Amino acid sequence: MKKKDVILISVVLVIALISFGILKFMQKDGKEVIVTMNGKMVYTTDLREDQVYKIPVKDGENVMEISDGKVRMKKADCPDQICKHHRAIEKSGETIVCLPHKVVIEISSDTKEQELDGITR
Amino acid sequence: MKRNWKRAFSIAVCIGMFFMMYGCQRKTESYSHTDFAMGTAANITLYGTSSSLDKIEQKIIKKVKSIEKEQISWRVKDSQLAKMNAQLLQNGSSSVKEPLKGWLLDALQISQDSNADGRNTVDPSIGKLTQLWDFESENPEVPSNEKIKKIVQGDLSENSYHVMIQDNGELKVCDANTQFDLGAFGKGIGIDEIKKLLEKEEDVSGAMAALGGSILVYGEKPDGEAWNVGVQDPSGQDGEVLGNIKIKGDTFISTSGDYEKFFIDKKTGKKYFHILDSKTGYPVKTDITSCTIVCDSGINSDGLSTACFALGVEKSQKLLKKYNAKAIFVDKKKNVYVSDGLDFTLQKEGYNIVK
Repeated sequence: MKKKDVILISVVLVIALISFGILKFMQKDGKEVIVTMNGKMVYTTDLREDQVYKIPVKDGENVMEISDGKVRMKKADCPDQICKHHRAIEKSGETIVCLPHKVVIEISSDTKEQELDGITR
Repeated sequence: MKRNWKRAFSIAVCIGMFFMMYGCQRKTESYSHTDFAMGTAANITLYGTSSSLDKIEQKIIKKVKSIEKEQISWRVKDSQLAKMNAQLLQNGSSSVKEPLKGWLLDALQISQDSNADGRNTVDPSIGKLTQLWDFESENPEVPSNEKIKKIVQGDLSENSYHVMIQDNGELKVCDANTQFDLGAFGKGIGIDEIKKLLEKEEDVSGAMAALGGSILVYGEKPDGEAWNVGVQDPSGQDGEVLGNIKIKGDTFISTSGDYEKFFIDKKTGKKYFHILDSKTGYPVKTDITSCTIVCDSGINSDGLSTACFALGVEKSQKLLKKYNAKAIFVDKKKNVYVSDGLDFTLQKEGYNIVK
């Protein structure tokens, strides 16, 4: 192999690596917060954006709050109040469920770095 | 000329490598969704090469809903179980077809195996008692002592011994009070059926299915690591974990605790939880606050978690051995008892592992 061949191979390799890096970079690395009602998605947002969101529940109230990269159910008028007392979630795959209002808040992420596959309770 | 060929070949190899790297990363897809079925949240995560994992998930949810509505719910009038209960009230006999027949036989077997001192917490034939308490209604109340006594006064604690299911499905009961309730087994039955569905899907390489707190881990994770399941801290907020279990695929995990379904009596301030003692008719007295079962069957893990919660550490050992199941018990003094061979890591402070 000539010196020029080595250079050519190196150049192509570098280009390949750079494009690979760009592709990786273009994938969202931020975690996404997904809100579903009765299994259907109603809202998605970025976990890094602090906000208060009123979930459009028909006969009741559920208010989600995101602050400092954590999500919690700030207000809920469901009978059991389990969602309101759920700990604030921040990791991929974690969920807060309001069973009476059939609302789920879920943190998803493209990079699969989920710690727990599920929680038995 | 020859050199040009070499160059072209090198470039082709490089491009090929690039696509291989990219291709490897995309090969296994994943899909996760939370829906509602069996009166609880149903969370399914699927891994596989299929591009229609979402459709498979919908099929699974549909199946779980149909098991509830068509087979095992005593609340849904047209379900097999509700029809059976109605016939029993009318003429003291009925008949039962598969698949309900198989589930009932399994549940009765677990009930008889876990009967201790005439107490039973998983008897599927004491539906009258669970219906009287009705923990899932909007405003549950403590029933009158008279009403409870009236149901318990027969030999209800051993009722499951007096239920006969013949091969042809003919069902006979001795006690006129007999009504069936598969509440202690329903989610376990659900995850058993999910596993059967997954086995037919060749493109699904791994899955996690949770019906409420009853979990199936199936096949392999894309990274080949062990499945990692958290155990709820019985005295923590919902979602706070006590520790985590690392397990291989095709395993079922269920937990029963006094924190799951309960209400506080407005007059006395006393807490009543949903696991009832067939002998007294009231919530069972136990030192345990949470019991997690790990085994190779959903119906067994679900039923045994309730039974062992009531029996306590010592009395559960024989039962666990018979069903080849492993357990994690947490008692009221925050002691944690873990079966040998279970890869459990305690994360929460304030608890003490007893060897």
